[in-house]
Amino acid sequence: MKLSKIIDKCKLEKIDVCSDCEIETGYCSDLMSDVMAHAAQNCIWVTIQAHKNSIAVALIKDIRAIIFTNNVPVEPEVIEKAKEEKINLLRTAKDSFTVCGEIYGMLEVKN
Amino acid sequence: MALKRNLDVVSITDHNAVQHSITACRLSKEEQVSVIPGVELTTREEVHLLAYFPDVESLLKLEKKIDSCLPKASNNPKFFGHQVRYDLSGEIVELDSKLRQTALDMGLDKLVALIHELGGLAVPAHINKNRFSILSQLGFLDSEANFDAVEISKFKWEKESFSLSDTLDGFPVIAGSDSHAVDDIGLFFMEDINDEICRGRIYPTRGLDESSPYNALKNFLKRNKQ
Repeated sequence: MKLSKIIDKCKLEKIDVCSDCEIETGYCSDLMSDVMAHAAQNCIWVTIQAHKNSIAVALIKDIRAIIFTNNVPVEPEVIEKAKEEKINLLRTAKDSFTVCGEIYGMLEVKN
Repeated sequence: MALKRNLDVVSITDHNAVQHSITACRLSKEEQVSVIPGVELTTREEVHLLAYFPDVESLLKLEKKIDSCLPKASNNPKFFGHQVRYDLSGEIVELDSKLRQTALDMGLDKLVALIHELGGLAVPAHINKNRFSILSQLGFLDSEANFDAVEISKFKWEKESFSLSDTLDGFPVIAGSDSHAVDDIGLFFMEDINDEICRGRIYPTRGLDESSPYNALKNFLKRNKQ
């Protein structure tokens, strides 16, 4: 599914969108070690952990898009790093449970 | 207990709470032990971050900032116990009802900047542990990060025979006793072999003089940072 469709349906705030990549699956976790161990390639990552290290982890795992939930503040240096590394950053006031439910439903219907 | 176990320099670093660290500093003025004002903060990422300051005033300024970042919930004594505050003579003077066993609504990098602004040292705590550490929460240590040192657990310190001038990924390494009860104090300590930090102890901390243990520690860590 195209990222733009997810952004549209879930009404996500676009912090930094650089590509309309294909999203095959998703992962939800706030611990970097867990993401590094379990997230799949080309997934969309749902988290409240808006730190610079999140961008580095996304890069290592080939994660092309991150959704920050609960409207967590995102510092300028995080956005800058994401732009540099071409990682899409989205944000929403919804919590991770809700967003995951929405995206899971969309991906299931498609399959 | 610090006196009984012959410690020269200690720091009391409660979780998101500074008042007992300040009480210890005041008590030490009459004693042959130096106390560095400190606190162990929980950042928004749930990383434990130690902060040490040259004086009580700076720590009080930090308290003002962090208290506004605590969640709007009360402590539940059933889970966490009562947060009792004692005065200099050991009398109970206050029951602190703020929920302190949780994360502050401020990110790691911002807290480090704030600590530095107030003249303090910022040290990620027990980085090798798999709970509430920078490695467990944020995956790795950014060598560009502005930490003055990193703390490892006393177990790792002893097992791998660390000493005060060692570094880890370019950061000077320290270890604390992680004492959660009075009897634990002094069972673990770091040895100041070359008298780098304790030499100021003959004139116990009385402010900002260069020989104070805080300044000696600050300069020592600065020299060792790569």
